[in-house]
Parts: sequence; structure tokens; C-alpha cells
Amino acid sequence: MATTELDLGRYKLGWSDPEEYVFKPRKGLNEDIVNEMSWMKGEPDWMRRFRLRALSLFERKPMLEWFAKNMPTIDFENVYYYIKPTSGQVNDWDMLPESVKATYEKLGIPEAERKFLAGVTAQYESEVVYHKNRDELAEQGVLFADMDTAVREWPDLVKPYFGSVIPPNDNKFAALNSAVWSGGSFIYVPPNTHVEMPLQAYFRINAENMGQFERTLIIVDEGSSVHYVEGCSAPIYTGDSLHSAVVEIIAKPGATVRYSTIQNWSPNVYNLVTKRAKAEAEATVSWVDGNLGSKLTMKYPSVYLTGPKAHGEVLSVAYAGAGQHQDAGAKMIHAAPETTSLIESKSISKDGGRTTYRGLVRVDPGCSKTKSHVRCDALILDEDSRSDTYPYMEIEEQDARIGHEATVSKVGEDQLFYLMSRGLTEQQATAMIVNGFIEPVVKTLPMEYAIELSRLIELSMEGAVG
Amino acid sequence: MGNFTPEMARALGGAGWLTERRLAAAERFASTTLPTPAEEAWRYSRIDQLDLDRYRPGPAGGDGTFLGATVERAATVRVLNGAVVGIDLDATYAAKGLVVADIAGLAEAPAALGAGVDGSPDAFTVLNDAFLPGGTLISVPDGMVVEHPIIVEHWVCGAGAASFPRTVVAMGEDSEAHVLERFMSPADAHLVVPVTELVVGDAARLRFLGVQDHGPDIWQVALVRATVGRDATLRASAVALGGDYARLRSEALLTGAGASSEMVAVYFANENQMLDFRTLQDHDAPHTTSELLFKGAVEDEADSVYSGLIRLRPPAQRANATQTNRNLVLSEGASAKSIPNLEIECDDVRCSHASAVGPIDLDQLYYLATRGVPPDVAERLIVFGFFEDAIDRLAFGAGAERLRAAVARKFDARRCCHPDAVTSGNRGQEKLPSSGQGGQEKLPSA
Repeated sequence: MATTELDLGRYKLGWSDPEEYVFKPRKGLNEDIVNEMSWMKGEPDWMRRFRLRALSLFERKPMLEWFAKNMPTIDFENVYYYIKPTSGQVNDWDMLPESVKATYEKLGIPEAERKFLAGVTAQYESEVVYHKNRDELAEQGVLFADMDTAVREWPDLVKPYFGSVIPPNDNKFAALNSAVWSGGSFIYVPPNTHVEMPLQAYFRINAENMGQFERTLIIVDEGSSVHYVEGCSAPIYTGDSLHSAVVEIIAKPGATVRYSTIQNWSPNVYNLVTKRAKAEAEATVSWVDGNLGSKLTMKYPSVYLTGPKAHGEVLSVAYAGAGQHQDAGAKMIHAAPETTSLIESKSISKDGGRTTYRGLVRVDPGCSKTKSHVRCDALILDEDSRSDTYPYMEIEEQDARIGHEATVSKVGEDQLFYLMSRGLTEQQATAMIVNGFIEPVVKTLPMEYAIELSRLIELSMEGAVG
Repeated sequence: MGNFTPEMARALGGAGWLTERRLAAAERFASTTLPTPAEEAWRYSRIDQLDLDRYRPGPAGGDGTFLGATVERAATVRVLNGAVVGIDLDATYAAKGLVVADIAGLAEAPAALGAGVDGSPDAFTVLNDAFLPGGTLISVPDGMVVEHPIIVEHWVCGAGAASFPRTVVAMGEDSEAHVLERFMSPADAHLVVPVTELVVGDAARLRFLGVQDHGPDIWQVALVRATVGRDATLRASAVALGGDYARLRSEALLTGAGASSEMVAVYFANENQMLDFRTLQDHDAPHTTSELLFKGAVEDEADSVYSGLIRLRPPAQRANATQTNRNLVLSEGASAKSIPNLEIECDDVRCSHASAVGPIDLDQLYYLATRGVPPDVAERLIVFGFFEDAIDRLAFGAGAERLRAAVARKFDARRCCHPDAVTSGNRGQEKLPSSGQGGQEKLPSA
């Protein structure tokens, strides 16, 4: 670590009662700042110590050569240099760039949501709209809140699990997140409870939704199920240039969890996220992961299959336009017998964009009767763009069936010709083919997201997204 | 580094150009460090177990054991610890201009020497450059079709010694040849660092097969690298059976429009062996085609690594590349790593890869069982069937039969109760059978 100058200006928005805090942003990342943060948030002492331990780990961990090589321009000093104390969150609709507003218009997003999406605090509107939904959740005993609230309200539930799937020493960015996290979601679903409606991040009350260092923890107890949707497909405008979230999921025996996220950060953002789930016996965890925005995304959602017959899935779509690099993938760690996994990745690169699939399937010794299948397809839409595939397979068990397939191609000329002979323009035809290409992943999303994603890909193809 | 100093390189003597070349390389090596598994190219390898100080550059002493001829050949070269000890070149071909020579005996460096390696060096190729005793040069003139195979037989031996064989094949324009390079060795703890360079000129056709059937204690770090010119065709295949740790880096660089390469390999590791393959299909010209099929089995505590890359550089429009790696895991404790990578920098291409790791298919066993085939026989049939398409593609001459027999020996080594099994033997000590002809001939050292 050369210089650690963290701008904590953003955190003034993180407390429920803003006028109480006249918190002057101070630069620098050190124990005092972390202590102060923790105190301001009214956190229990164990969390403060957790943060401090993470901070010392962050300072000790070297920047991986691999990271340094892939991100030549990410220099902490520079990253923070670009954050102006006031630009963390846009406070006024009018401050949004025209291009972002135009995209909202084209997507047909309601005004209330637009404001929310723009980072304008629109919690109260959504609170009203989704009030009914929240009552039902309360009846079922489902806990759904922002992480800061959860730490204060339900420490007995949070403490045993917080950092249990992704310990602070996992990687440098996980350590950074553990030290300075703020915001993110907490979900607890009690045993044998099925949450019918997808839980969405922006239904939450009183939350910092789009924090720079979000921290999400989802615990789904035995035999329960939940679908959580984080973020959404519309562009998220942020002044931050580094986004580093940590998401932990614990699926108890027989539980089913689906986590869907579509990130569309503005093109100045480095998005370095650690997402990991633990699936116990007969549990199912699936990550549906869309990556459209950001300058560079490095995100490899993983599932540790720790109980027999657990199942993991990652379905991902990546789109890289001009100047973008989507380095996404998946990891499946088979640590118990009879576990199964599926990875399906679709990527599209255009206008010099670069997509990378980087994945790992590991089968530990003794994990017999495991199965895994990985399928990666890439479309390259012009000659300036690039696509890479790096699938790792480490099989330490004889009785495991592991398959991997990948293809890279351009849009088929026959397909284009067919559609154009039916009167479509080349652009329409290409967009239609691309939408067909990503269909297997899109269809797993809730309908409104699926429509938005399809529409957004079409817009990207037209070059209309800022 | 230890025994591999510039002084040792100088001590090898020989032609002036060769000594200078060695010295320059030895000096480069002196400032090089050996790779570690932290480097991506050496991930999963056993490079951390290599103690170079345990070896010294071996004098080419002792006797070589070479297989006799079973088929008519255009040329046979016998190489002992990297030094050429005998060349039989058919007079008809010699008269037409086919050159098969010992590099150490040449008055000046052949143009193709270094043509492959210089584009992709590592510590071991530098070491080969520094200590090669000579090596085989095969140069096929423009337009010549060599109908009979050219065979390079290597024998490496000497516990604690290291050898550095070098083979250079230069194919003139529109020429055609088949080259077989075979490595064998006794049960010596020996380090062998072979480098084979294939330069395939425009419109030339080369079939190359490298077979390693080393003794059980051999450490091998090998490179086979080809450059393929305009409209030329390369079929470069490999068979890997022996060695304690045997690594093969196999690379084809397609430099001319319309060039094509096919790489096929068959490997079988058992006991504590590790067979380690790194492949590269590097397309740098339009309308190029490459195909790769690597099939392997692992048994006992053995490991295999397959790590391959297809790189389509920006000029490689209209390229077509495929890469397939399939692994059979025959026992608990064996493991296979498979990493098929793609780096695609152009859009108008077709590229795909597939890889699979798994045990013998129970459905297939069941099907055969319902037809009255006992499980052990069925397993044997399935394993042979698994290898058959690759064997079919890579072998030429009498090679397919030999190869099937070699796989059978390896497969049966642990299964002595099987009626078809040949008497059980140790890996590496069972050599490729010579199909009943020729027999073995002993050659004195040069």
C-alpha cells in the first residue's frame, strides 16, 4: 500500500438522522477513522474490533501482482484523487448527466425509481409503494434491513455469520471492505419459509443502497427459499471510482437462494467485488450476474458446496463496450459428495471492449459422484474487440464428471441475412440475435428486469447508452 | 547456477560458432532464475521439486539401446544423450538433396537453429542452448517429397546427468516429410531437456510425432515449437508414457495465410507420475486453421496437467480453431487438471474448446455387462476405445499397432489377472514392442 487516503465524506449519508452528525470528511485510512466510524454508527464493540483487525490485514497484504498487472491505472492515490467531497452521491436530479437521464427515459422507468436510481434519496416513495410487501415479510419472520441496522438490532444473528464465508484476510479488497464497509443488505429467512416475491435492494427502508463498500449478508435457514435482487439494469451514476462490495450467502440444509444482480456502473468505476456462498446439504444457490457497466469489473461469484447433494449455479451475462473490460466468471468448489454445479456465461464485446471469462471448478478428494458443467459463449461484434476464456478445472476425485465447453464467434451471416430479408435493418437484426444469445440467462430474471436488460442491451448496441 | 556454469559450457568444445553460441546462452542462464509454480506457465507443475544441483551436464558416455528398423526409412538418426552417434541416410534421398546431419559437425550454424525457440524462450531452452552437444538437422529441399519416414531415436541415460537433445527440421517450400522422434531411457534419475524446432516453409507438409517412453525416474522438460508458413500444413503429435515428471510444451505459430496445424496427443500416467502439457495455437495470419485433441488417462496416484491456449491475434481473421482435452480418471487418488484458454482479438473467427474429466462411464460398463462382457474386460475395451480416435490420427507407418500395444502394457501393468494381460511389468521398463521384427541393436558410444 503506497498511500491510503480514504475519503469518508460519503459516510455522512449513512446515518438515519443526518442533522445529528456534523461529520467533516477527513482523508486518510487509519485506526482513528475506523474507530470514529464505528462509534458514529453506534456499533457494538466486536464489530469495531473486526474492522480494526481487517484494517491491519489490509495494510499488511501486498497488492497482488496479478491485480497490478490487470489494473495498471488503479493506484489508490489516484482513485481517491478523483473523488470530490461532494460528488459521492448526487443530491439533485438536475445534477445527473444528460446521457443517464436520457437512458432512464428510454427505459421507461417511473419517476420515483429514476430518482432512486440516480442516487437521489427516494426511500420514502418506495417505502409507501412496497409497504404491503414488508408487512407480509414481517409476518413470516423474515428480517430484511440494511447491514448497519442489522448489526445494531440483531447482533446475535449477525455476529456468527459476518465474515464467516469471506474472512477479512481472503483478499486485499475483502480486507478493505471489512474495515470500512457501510450499507448493503441483511436478510434472514427463518426455517421452512418461502418468500414469494423477490426481495429487492431498493425496497429497504433507511438504507445506503449504493455504498462504495457495501456489505451484504444473506442467511437462509433450513428448507427456506428466497430470491434477492440487487441493483438493477439502469445506469447507476456515481462519483466514486472504486466499488468494492462483499456479499456472503449462507444456505442452510435444503434452502434455496437466488441472488440476481445487474451492475451498470458508469464507465469510470473499477468494480472489484467478492461474492461467495456456502451451500449446505441439499441446498441450492444460484447467482444471476449481469455486467454491463464500469470501466473494469472483476467479479467471480462462487459457491462452496459443503454438504452432500448441494447444487450451485452461476448464470452470467457480460457486455463490454468501448474502453470496458468485463473480467467475470465463477467458482464452484465441490467439497462434499454428490454435489452438482452449472456455470453458463454469455459475453458480448463491441467497439474495442474486452470480455473475459475466468472460472474455476474444483473437486476435492473424496467428493464422489459430483457433476459440473461449464458453458461459455462469446460474441465478438467487431474486429477491435476481444474475448478471453480462462477456465480452470482442478479435479482431485476420480468419480467426478466435469465438462467444459466454450465457443467464440461473430454474429452469423446467415442469421443476419435471414432477418434482413424479412425487412429488419442490420442493427435491428443484430440486436435481435444478441438478445437471443443471452436469452438463457435473461429468462431467469424477474420479468421487469428481463425486459429492462433486453432493452438495455439493445440500447448499448445502438451506442445510445452514456 | 551450480553445475551449469559458462565454464562447463566452454568445456564442451567443438566448432567455434557452436562454442560461442553455447557460451552466450550459458551467460544468459547464469543470470536467470528457475521458474516457480507461482508463475502461470508453471502452475500445478512440480518445478519446485527440481534441484538442478543434483544434475551435471552429462558426458555422452555409455551405450545406447536403440530399436531396430521395422519399416523402410528415409533416414535413421541415433542420438545418445543429445549427441548424434549414428546416421543412416538412404542414398537415393541423399542424392536428391535431403540433408540429415549432426549439428555439431556443421561449419556454420544452420539458419533454422533457434528459429522456434527464440520466439518463446524460457530458462530451460536457454539451458539447452548452453549445453547442447550438437543435435539433428533435417533439411528437406524445396519441392521434395520424402515418402518414407525419417526417424530420430534418442537414448538418454546416466544417473545424476543431464542431457540436452536438439532436433531441427527445416521444410523447404512445397516439400513433404514424416518425422518420428522417439525418446527412451533406463531407470536412471536423469534430467533431459529436449528442444525440437520445426520450420514448415510455404505450402510444405510435415507430419511430426514425438514419442516419450522414458524410464520411471526421468525428469523431462521438453519444447516442440513449430512455425508454419503460407498454405503449409503441420501435424505435430505427441505420445507421453514415461518419466517421473515429464513436461512437454507444444507450440504452433501460424505465420502464413492459409496455414494449418493439427496437434494430437495420447498420454497415460500411473504410479506417481506427473505428465504436464502446455500447448499454444498461435494464429498470426488470416484463414488459418488449428485443431487440437489431447486425450489422457491417469491411474494410481498419478497427475496430469493440460493447459492450452488458443491465441487469435488481430490479423487472424477468418481463422478457425478448436481445442479438445479429455481425461479419464481410472483410480481414486489420481487427478487431472484441465485449463483450456482462449484469447481472441479478432471478430470474424470460429473458435471453440471443450474439456472433460471423468471416470469410465457406468452406462457403457452396464451396456457391455448386459452383453455378457465382464467388468474388467469391459473397462479395458472402453479405455482402448477412448484412445482409439487419437491414436488413429497421430500414428503413421507401423506406429498405431505399437502404440496400442504400449497403452495396453501400461493399462495391464496393474491388472495381471486379466487373461489378455502381458506379464505385469514396471512402467518405463516395458518398452514399445518392436512388432516382432528387427530386434534391438546395441550401438557402442561414439
